[in-house]
Amino acid sequence: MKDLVPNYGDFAKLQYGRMLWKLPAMRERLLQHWADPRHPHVERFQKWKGEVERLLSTEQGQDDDLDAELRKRGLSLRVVAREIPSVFGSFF
Amino acid sequence: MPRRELRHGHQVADWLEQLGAGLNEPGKMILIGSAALLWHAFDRGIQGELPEASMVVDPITDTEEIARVCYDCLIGSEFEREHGWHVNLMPELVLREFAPDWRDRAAMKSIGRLTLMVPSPEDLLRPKLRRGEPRIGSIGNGRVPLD
Repeated sequence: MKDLVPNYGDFAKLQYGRMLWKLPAMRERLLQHWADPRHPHVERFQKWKGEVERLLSTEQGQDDDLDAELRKRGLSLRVVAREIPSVFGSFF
Repeated sequence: MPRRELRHGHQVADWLEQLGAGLNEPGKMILIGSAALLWHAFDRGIQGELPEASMVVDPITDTEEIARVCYDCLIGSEFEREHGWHVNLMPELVLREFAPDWRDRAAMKSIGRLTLMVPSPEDLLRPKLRRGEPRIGSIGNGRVPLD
C-alpha cells in the first residue's frame, strides 16, 4: 500500500547518506557506527548491508532503474531506503 | 531524552554565524521550521521567545561540508548536550509543502561562506497551520508579524 504521507526521515537518510557516502572518512564513520554493538539496529543492518551500501553508492538519476531491478527481487527503493540505519549522536 | 531549550532567535543566529565562519568552501542552506521563525524574529530585532521551546533546528542543504557539520549536531551528540537542541537535516522533498513561488519571498543572507535562505514567515507557517501545530503564530506575548 503506497504511503500517503512521505516519510521525511527515510528521505533524509537517503539524501544525506548519499551525500556523505562520497566522502571516504564519513563513509567509514557511518559503517562503524552502524556496526557498533550499541546501535539498536546492528543485527538488522548486517542483513541489509549490501543493499544499503549499493543504494547509497547509486546516483539519484539512476533511481528508476535501481527501483525496477529491486522490484524484480521483491524489494523496492523505498524498502531498502527504510533500512538505512539512523545515526545516534551519542556514539557517532 | 532530547533536550528542548531552543527559545531565542540568537541561539539560531549564533550557530549560523559559527557555521558560516567555519566553512572551508562556500555552502548553501535553507532553514525551515520553528528555528526559521526564530531567525526571522532575531533578524528583525524582535526580542521574544517561543512560548514552548523547540528541540531542533531543521536545515536543508546540498553542500557536503554543511551536511557533515550537521551530522555532528544530531540528537544525542555533544553539540546537543552543550546547546540544549539538535539539528535534524530535512530532505529537499519537504519543500513541496511550500507554495511553488516561496523563493520569491524568501530572505537571503550571506554569513561568512554560508548563503542562507529562509522562507518568509507566511510560507513557513503554512505547513504548520495545515498540521495544526500549537506553537505557530506567536512569539512572546504577540503574534509573529507577517509583514
